[in-house]
Amino acid sequence: MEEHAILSERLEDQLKAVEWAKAEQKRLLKEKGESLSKKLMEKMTPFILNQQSGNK
Amino acid sequence: MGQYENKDNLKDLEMAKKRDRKIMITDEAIKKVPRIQYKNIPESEYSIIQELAKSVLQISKDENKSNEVAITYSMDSAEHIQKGEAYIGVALGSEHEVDPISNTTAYHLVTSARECIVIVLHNHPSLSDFSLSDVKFLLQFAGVKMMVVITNLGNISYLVKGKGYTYENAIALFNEAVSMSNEARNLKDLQKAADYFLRNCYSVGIEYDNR
Repeated sequence: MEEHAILSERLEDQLKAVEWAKAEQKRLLKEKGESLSKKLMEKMTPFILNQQSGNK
Repeated sequence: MGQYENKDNLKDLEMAKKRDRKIMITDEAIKKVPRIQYKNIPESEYSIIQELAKSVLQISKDENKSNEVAITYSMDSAEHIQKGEAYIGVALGSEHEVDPISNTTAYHLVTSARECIVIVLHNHPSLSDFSLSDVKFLLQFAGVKMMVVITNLGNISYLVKGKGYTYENAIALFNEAVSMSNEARNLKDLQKAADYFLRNCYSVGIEYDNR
């Protein structure tokens, strides 16, 4: 079940909203990093194998 | 073409004057990332490291608003490739920080390396040199062989552990630098404390170079 989202003007609730946004930002950056790692490995693998066979 | 290059250079210079601010990465900066003959690193890795350094800037420019990006790479990549395992981790950060091991692969590489073979590259948007936190990261993880900093203008500094490296001596020097930073009143003083470590790290088996 989804967590209830309370609409509130109280300071503590607004601070909670800010904390939530920061945590979400961190989570999204982490996800993006994981996907970029895969793309970078796809690009680098032939380059690395080529470099290493060239040095043998 | 030449005219555009001059314009790019001028833009870089104007931005460089504002050292405390983030410099936006240009294609020109990415192109000029040098191939360096790193001390204590096998020659077969030089071109790979150059490509990874360019990738740091490219990813930062395209995907992270020219903010900090860290790439963690293990020099035993061929073994990982053969086994179908991950050997590169990318982590995205903010204007002033990035946590390289927030990436799952990077965490695994750094914490489980059986030898000192991991390289961590990251960019500094405001063109500063190594910070005390960067040095701490190098010392903290035995598997980390080298840290490379690429400025958003494409210049490179690196710290690499050599044969004479001992953890105990490095920590003693680091503590000297930290005691200087405890008296620091501003960012300049903090950089001076880090510079103290960079100037003296050869004595504890760490090579520092700045291109």
